[in-house]
Amino acid sequence: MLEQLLASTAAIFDPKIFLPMTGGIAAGLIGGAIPGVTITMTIVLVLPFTFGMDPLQGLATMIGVYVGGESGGLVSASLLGIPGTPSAIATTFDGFPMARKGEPGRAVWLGIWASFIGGLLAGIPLVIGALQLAALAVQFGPWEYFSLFVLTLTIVASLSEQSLLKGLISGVFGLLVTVIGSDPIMGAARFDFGTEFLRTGFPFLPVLIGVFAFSQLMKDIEQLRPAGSDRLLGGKVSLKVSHLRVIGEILRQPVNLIRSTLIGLWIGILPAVGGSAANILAYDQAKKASRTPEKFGTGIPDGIIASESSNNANIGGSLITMMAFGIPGDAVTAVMLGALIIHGIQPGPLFVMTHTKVAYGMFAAYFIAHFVTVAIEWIGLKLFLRVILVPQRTLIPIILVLCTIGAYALNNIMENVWTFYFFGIIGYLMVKFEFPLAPLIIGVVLGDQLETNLIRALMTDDHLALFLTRPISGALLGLSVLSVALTLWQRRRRPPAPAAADVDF
Amino acid sequence: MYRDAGVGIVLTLLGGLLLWQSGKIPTPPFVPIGPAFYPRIILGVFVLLTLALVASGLVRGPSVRTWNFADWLRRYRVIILTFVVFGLYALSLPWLGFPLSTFLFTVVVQWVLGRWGWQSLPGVLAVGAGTAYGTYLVFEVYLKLLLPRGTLF
Repeated sequence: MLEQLLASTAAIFDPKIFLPMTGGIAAGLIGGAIPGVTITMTIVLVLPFTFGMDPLQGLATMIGVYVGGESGGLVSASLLGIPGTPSAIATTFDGFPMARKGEPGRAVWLGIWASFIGGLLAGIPLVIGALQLAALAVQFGPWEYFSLFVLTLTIVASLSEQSLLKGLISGVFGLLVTVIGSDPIMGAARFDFGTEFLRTGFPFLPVLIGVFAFSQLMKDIEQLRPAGSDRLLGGKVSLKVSHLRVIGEILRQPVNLIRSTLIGLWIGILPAVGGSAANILAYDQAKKASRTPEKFGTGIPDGIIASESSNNANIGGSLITMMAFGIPGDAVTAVMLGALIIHGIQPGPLFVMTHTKVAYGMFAAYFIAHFVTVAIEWIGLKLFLRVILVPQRTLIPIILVLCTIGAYALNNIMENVWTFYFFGIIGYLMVKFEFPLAPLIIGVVLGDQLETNLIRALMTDDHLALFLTRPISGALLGLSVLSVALTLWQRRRRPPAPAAADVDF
Repeated sequence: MYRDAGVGIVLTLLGGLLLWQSGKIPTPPFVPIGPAFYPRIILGVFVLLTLALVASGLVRGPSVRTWNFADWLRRYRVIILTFVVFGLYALSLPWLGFPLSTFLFTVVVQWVLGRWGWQSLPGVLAVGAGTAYGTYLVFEVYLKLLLPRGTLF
């Protein structure tokens, strides 16, 4: 294992891979740092650049965006008080007060080094976990796969912040999207209403780009900040700091660091729950475990370390789920899955076994991307500070154009642009009516596989009881029921949520 | 306004329509499990869930007491305009081609988002031209990706 990893590490340094990966990291840092531009959006924007690349080049570039993006979010969180990405929300709580107290360099670099260390720590379970879980998953039959996908959907619906019912509807709606067009077993046309457009079904990536990027941009438009309103703490900012001192501060909190890394890793492994949940949970746990919880929110390093180490560790967890099971750990890995399919690679447990070079290359890219991210931030942090102040009024049309290119260039057909547009409207309506988006995407990603495995299982043996009597399948279905029951129980104990402030329907 | 109940009714109708349509999916003979089998299960679950949403929405009561169309339109005017302009952009791509459509789109969207006035016009036009021709050069010329061709230009 180690030999292959070292060989892949050397391969990543090939300029053919290293340069696009570095470009991806820079794009991630900028995209992550710009408030309103999420990492998902950035990876969608980078996607068309990877169409002409070989699989490892493309995936290394995307991993670069992912790692850079998680680190970029902390810059605006600390210096503007606005999280660049949802995964840096908790960084704002202590990063911004610390910067305002006259220590912007310490705030930013505590975050950068905590991201770096948390990310590297999560790399070890990534390599071991992905390989071991893939080896286990290879032994699954169609019953186990079906039950695993059902569990995935129920977990995603249960973990959504909105109501469980809306989460379940969103997930089943995602499954419905995949039944439009030809069926995956016999190729028979379904629900095409006699149109050529619907006969081929909705391709997954334009759906994802529409649901996440388009709807996010519309939300940004709702909250457009006045031009020139973003100010970096009154203009000039000095980010000079003693790096040894900052690293020492982080290493003096090993329990906080490891706990937050494990939280990030675990949240990442859970399907479709990203760094946005990880950083809040890690921050909350750090506060609860602290002897001085009252100091949280005043600009102490503990909060920054918890938030930033967890969100980079979350990448490792998301990649484990994606590489071992072919299930996206979050929206970013959902785009990566799409990229794998574009390159003719079937995601799933066999991916690690049959495309060993690509899989190990991804591990190596993950590790190297963390080092390159710190190097780029060391050199170009000041430059990024200028870029994040580009007005949203200018950015939004540019991002929409790049999304259009990403959708169109998949197959060079306008139908993909219309799919992107249509699902942009659906995504925005879902946001307004408080339906979570993650279950929809998981439904779209897993729909065909869910159907294929159900039909395969029933064609092999039509006894439905097998789904319950096969030990792993039964356990997975039991966990599905448990996750729904637990959510219902927890929400019943919670006081009813106040009505949302901006409900206008 | 019973928002959730209203959404639930619309989704139930959609599920019902598709369930009815699933009867038209041809099932080949000698095939034990036809192509309509799985969609019917999913649609059945979907309709049950949306009916539950209708019920819970009715139990919870109205989300807003009063609803004013003029206020609503004022709040969502820019969003609706952006969606409309994007729709026109998608329509224009096969006619005007990528560079010209994109130039017009980026200029109009910036204007819709509030960058108007003579002072900002040079910047708006520069962003439009830079986006249109910059992306064209990068993707079409350098990366060899095909972008929409126009029948008129």
